[in-house]
Amino acid sequence: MNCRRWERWLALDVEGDLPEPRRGALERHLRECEACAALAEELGASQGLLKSLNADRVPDASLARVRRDVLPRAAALQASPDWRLRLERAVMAALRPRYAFSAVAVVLAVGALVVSGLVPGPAIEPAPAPVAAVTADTAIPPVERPPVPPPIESPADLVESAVATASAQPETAPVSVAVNAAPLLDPRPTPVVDTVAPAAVNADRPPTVVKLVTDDPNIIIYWLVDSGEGGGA
Amino acid sequence: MEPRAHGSSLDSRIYWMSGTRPEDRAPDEAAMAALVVRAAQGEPAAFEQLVARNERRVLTLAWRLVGRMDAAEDAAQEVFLRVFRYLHRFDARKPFVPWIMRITVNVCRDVARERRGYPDSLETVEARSGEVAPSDPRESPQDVLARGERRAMLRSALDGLPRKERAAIVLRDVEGLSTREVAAILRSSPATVRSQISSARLKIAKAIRRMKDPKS
Repeated sequence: MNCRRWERWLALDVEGDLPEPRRGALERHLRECEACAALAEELGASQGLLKSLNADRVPDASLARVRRDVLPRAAALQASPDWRLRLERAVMAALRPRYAFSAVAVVLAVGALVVSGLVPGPAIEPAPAPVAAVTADTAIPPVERPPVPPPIESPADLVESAVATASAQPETAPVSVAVNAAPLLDPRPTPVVDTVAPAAVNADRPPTVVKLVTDDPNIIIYWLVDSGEGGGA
Repeated sequence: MEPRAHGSSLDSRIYWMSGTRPEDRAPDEAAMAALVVRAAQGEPAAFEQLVARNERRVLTLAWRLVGRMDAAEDAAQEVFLRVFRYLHRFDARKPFVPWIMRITVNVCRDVARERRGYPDSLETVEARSGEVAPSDPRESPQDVLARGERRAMLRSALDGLPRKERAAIVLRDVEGLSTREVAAILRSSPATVRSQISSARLKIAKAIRRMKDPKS
């Protein structure tokens, strides 16, 4: 039979901690269960032993040691209490204890908030961007660079070059070519070069040429800005 | 040092602090409250008397909670220093003894965490201090031996209890406090304390049974 519940009740009943309605049920169970009746006897014996500990007296020598050490330390504490204790005692002396304790807690909390707002915290540096390190045991073959176009002599040449590039593309939409010439970690915005259809270029007025120099000396970007209606690009 | 004479001004201060008229309190409690007020005002003699009135209670409880006398002495010192330090926080409307017992339980919890070891029996403590309590002349040497053996088993069983159960059963069954008082000291509910003492009593009874008869 599983008597776990009865055991818990027995352990309470041995010192009169079991509520009255349960005692009747427990007594009926004890008349039927020998194991629980034996446990009740053991509990009575161990409780008697526990209570006998109350008669133990600590030696006077131990008491004397405690007193000898405590009193000088308390006197030293009394002579030089730290500022928090002094403040707390002063507030407590002025107010009733239960209110003073809350008041001190509020004052300390507000003080901590004010101090944390006034004192600048340490500068937080942005975390460095992840950099991929590539190592290779074998020699890396040289990368073939695309042929560098000849330098453009004049805006007219530039227009011709743009027309030639655009004609190689379908004529239905302007072509956008994004050139990311900056290194991986360069925070500057990516320059974008749009070549437009020849019809958009005002042939009467020469376009403004913007020359973008990238970190790579082999890449120079020219930006044609149409000064006429419709803006640049 | 002679304690300063305090007349009606002290009584009125106790009444002001506690909200209880001095004549309405138990004599010992009223005397303790007066000592607390004077000690909180910084009177060394009052604190000394507070220590003298409570040292045995604190040291005994600490010994029962931590098991070793050297650790209990350290705990008792720390208890009185905390009392001195935080006396101004004590609500004088309430009795002093439960407050100091709560501090003792808290300090012993820290001490027991740091210092573990085999518990000292009364006989060991007495032998170490050279103060042996007079035994009952009706007891035979065999009886004395058997009693010492049973108590050693009990201390060992107590030492094996979880910290909270040990505190609950020491306060309830050894110190003789009510379940409600134990709950107040442990800042717990009476139902929780009942559960803890029930579990602890069963463990102790079964541990003693095993020690007597290892086959059981």
